[in-house]
Amino acid sequence: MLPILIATDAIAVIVHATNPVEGLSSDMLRDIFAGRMSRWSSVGGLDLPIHVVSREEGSGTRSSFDELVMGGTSVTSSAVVQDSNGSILETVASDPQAVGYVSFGLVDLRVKALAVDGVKPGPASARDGTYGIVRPFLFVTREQPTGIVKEFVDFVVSERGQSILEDNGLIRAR
Amino acid sequence: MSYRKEGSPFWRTTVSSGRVRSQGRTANERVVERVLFCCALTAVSALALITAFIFAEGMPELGRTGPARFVFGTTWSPSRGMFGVLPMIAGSVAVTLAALLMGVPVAVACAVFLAEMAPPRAGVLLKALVELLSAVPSVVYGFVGLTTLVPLIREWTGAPGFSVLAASVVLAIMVMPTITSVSYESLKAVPGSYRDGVAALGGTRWQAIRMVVLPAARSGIVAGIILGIGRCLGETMAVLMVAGNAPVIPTSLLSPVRTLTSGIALEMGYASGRHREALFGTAVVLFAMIAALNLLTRYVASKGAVFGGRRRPRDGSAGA
Repeated sequence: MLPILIATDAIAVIVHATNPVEGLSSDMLRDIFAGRMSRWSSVGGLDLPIHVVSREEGSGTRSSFDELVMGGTSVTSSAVVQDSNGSILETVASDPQAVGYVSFGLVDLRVKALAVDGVKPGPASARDGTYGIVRPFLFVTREQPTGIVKEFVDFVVSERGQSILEDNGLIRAR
Repeated sequence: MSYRKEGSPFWRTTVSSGRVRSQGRTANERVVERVLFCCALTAVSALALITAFIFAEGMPELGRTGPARFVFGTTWSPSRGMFGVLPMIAGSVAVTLAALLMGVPVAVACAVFLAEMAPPRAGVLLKALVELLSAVPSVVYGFVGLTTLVPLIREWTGAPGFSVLAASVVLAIMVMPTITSVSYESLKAVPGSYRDGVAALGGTRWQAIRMVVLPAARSGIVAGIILGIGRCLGETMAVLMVAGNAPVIPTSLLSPVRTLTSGIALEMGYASGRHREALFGTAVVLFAMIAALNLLTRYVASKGAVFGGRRRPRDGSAGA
């Protein structure tokens, strides 16, 4: 199997737009999603319970989050589980106490992407490596691509292909 | 008035002359018979294939984890190789019970009103409207629940809103038409002479309903409720959208909950290997529960007929 890097994707930790919390340390983030920290007041927010929202096991976003944020610990089993980035976004956008995670490209004005260890997610911070929760997007082929497969891969990594990916919220690979 | 009309549930109502004995069939008839036989075979073989497939896919993981640990395990964590479906069984049971507690009284009361109290023309019209409710796709119920019910519960209680309560309210609304229309039919099947009898003894209409009509229609109403239970256990999409899907045994009405069906739908998209087999294992558990429920339905239906002191049809066409 031959992986071809086409783009990278920052996973943004999102809260409701009205949530006063601006950022978290990666330890706090892990504690919140592990269910060890359950009130916003312990991370500088209001004195209300935290509603953890997560993706289902098996999803790519979930396994990247498990790997990059949770380390060896697992996401609390009492977290609300939604089956798509879209429904995580909707849930967090409608619940002032919720915290979830989605691809950076999906973040809109109804939610706020938190800084992690003092760094806000975005194309620049993801590319220079200061924002830590970043995953690669890969094409996978069985052997060195030829013919129309090669043409397509070349298009995706070309200037035009990369700017299309960028317009859709991903971070260009080259 | 034939005896069958009196108490047998409507789905038993058959032409009492029984099967037409066919002597001297034409070639044409024989062809039609063959075609119909093949159609019947299709339905049965589809069931057989589905059953075989679910078991073939699901049994390996049940064997690996061990049936007891699979069914009674309390941790569902595929990434750590832990497959216990008890939280989902508890979730399905909790949501179903809560939905029935809310839905059954309303549905039966609705059926009593439509069958016994409403002016006949209004009754027919209202019943058509109730049946229209069951034609609404379940995803629509789920969406309405997601956009209205979940935020409402969140506002009132401060909990996330995705909960046993949200799921069971949606299900209660969804099972109402089923229970109402089955109950309606069995109330309508109670002969008018019963009501006349109560009136002759000086009883009121309510007394007739409470003491005579409802008991006479009991087996049909119970069958309707069991159909409703089947719908609750089987409903996937609407529940997935409002239940919160946390694989933990719910401790209150406000806990998020994952049912067997929505658990399968939730994770099937990206599951592979053992995880996928475990989802089929979940389907095996669900299959067993639904089969048990079907047996219960037949038992209740037959018991109802015996209890009423009525004989069951003897022509062999009574199989449910």
